[in-house]
Amino acid sequence: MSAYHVVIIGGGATGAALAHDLTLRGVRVTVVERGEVTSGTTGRHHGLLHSGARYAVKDPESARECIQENTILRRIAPGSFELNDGLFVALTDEDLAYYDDFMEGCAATGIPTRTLSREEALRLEPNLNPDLKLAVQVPDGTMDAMRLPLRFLATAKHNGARVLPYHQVTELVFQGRAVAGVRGRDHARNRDFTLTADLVVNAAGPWAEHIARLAGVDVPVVPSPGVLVAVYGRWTHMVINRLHRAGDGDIVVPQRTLSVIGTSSWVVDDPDHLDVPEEHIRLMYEKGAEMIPALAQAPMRAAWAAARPLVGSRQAESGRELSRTFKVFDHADEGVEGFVTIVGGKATTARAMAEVTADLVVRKLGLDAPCRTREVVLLPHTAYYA
Amino acid sequence: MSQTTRTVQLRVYRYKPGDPAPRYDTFAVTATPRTTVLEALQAIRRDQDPSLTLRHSCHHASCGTCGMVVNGREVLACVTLLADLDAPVTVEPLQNAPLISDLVVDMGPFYATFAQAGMPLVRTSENQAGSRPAPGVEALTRFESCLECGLCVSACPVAATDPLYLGPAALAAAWRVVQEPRGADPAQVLAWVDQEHGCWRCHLAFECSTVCPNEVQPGQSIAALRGRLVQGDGLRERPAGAAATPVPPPPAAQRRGLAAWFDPRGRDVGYWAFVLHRLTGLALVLYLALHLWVLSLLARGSQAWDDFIALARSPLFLALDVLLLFGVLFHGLNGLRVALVGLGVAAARHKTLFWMLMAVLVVALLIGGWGLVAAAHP
Repeated sequence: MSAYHVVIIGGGATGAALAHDLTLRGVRVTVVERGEVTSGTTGRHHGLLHSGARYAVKDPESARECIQENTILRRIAPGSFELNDGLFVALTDEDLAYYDDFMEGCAATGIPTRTLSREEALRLEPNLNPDLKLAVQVPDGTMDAMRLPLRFLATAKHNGARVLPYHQVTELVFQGRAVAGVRGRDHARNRDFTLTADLVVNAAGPWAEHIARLAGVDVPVVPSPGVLVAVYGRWTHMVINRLHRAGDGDIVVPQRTLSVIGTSSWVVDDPDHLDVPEEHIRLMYEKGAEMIPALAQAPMRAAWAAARPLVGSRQAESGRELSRTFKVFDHADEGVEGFVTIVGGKATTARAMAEVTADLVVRKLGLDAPCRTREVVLLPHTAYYA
Repeated sequence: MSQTTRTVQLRVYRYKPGDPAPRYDTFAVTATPRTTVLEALQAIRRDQDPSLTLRHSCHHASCGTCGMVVNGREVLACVTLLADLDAPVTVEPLQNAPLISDLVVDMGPFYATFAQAGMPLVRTSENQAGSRPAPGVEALTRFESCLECGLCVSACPVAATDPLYLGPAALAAAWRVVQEPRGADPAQVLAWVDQEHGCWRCHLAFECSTVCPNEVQPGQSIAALRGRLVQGDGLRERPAGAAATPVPPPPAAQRRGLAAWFDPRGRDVGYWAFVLHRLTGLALVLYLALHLWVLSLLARGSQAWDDFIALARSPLFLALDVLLLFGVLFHGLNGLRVALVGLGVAAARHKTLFWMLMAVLVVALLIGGWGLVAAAHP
């Protein structure tokens, strides 16, 4: 292991995958997280292992990332996914008109598809709206939003990384114009802490802008919350998507004994203030029931909001227009050495985000260490607590 | 939001390593009818006290991270509405797990045991009624129902006194492996649970099944494991040399100890039966001592005996006699239930069985009580 020490701010999916990647490259890693790991955006997504099909038309870069990572994750995290596939269902003539673009987009981005007739789709999923026109089967899957990142963290810990939950960073330590560590509060023990580092990575998701400001730099991250509603009952086996442009309530993910309807999309300034507007809950029920009519009567288990950390301009209105891809910032470009920010992306692409970030980190540290996370099979999530 | 809001008081358990003793801090939060305990705690951390530590992740009862004890009951904070609780709402960490800070417990010992059961996270999906999967998707999978939240272990009166007990979650996982081996060896798992601190340690309070947020029913699984073991094939399947796995002593946990055996407040009927069974058992032992002392009066002559007979006709003494009869009937009848349920018979209907036997108890108590009074005052 090299003498270099990297501190990662943020114990979400990105920080977890990055800790794993850098540890495999021989870097000493410490992850600091304000709360429990995966307690921010990561744990709260709808639990979709993306095929990428949702982005095939409008955001081919994200689509390509998703299908590549989907394939890699199935290999390195066996047992972490419900291998249940997904359907894109066309309900209206307008949906049907989208079909050609959709199939073209999937073909161009390498997403396998299989078109099912109305009858075939209903035989597979009898609870679908019987008025559906056709459906397209894609390799979506259900994942456990918390347990996949735990496997990254478990493997990183096993390989020597330190994970410090309840450690809130309040200040960056500077040596001249270079970031040389972090300072903050250990809430578990009610005491201050300081960690020195050769490089600090800001992987704070929707809080990334807040952390960047501690270094006097700016990152274009837009916290874009969405409301999700979990209802009792598993009404389909497969993930059900609406075959049209991305919109509100266009996905239902079966997870354990629940079905999760998502999502809406708006934009906030502070990811710590997330409302769950009543009308969004109603909208999720309404839109979900268009695809699966029984959802209208399914009792609600929970409604919650999570803030996507989208890359883009602060002028964004709903967040829908922003790409779901990710971006790495080397703040040396703004005159601050030793400080890197990674924002954007999705749970499905966390490993790829980590790979690109780690490539930059090792280059900056002057190390020659290739990425190994495409091959290394992750430890089970239970090993995180060992 | 256009909903009515109100102010709710929360009494939150606070402890940091090095504190001489835990304390409770009271916070006022603004709540709508939809506000959950988790959201209230997040608001407290955000607006009032950033040093409050808690665990949470998925916010819809799928990850099992936000288990805590709210008003004396184990719940997932993310699906527990403040509106459904009596105020002030008391929030405490899970029991029977090492405390780290405030509401955060160390899940290490839980997972150390749970992982030994070897239950895979995914299983083959159950087909829906009418669903016939197309070729290529026959092997649909879904997640296991257990959320690994630890509520069952916290609620278990046996885990409160036996730090080595495998606990309801791990035993339920073990039963899943026996039911659906999925490549694992059921004989190994049966050998693992067939030990002093394994499935035999359970005293059938069934509180694990009551607090389980996802209907895993660990209590019934434990009974099923015993049933399988006493049927013999489990024992025959035991591989050579596969003696019970020694379990390393876990780190110190917050345990209520014997207090958990005698305090059924806020608990379900199985737990009340568990407590009453212990109380009646102890009372019957005490009665036996008393009985021997009374018999010893015979040795002191007829006068002492006659005095005692007069005492025995007093209303107070008759009342104690009826109480004694209740104790005998309860301990005997519930003992029958425990024996049946404990061997896997009628475990799913243990509550029905309990109330049926209690109906028998009431009838027998009325008849017996009348008989006692009639015999004393003919």
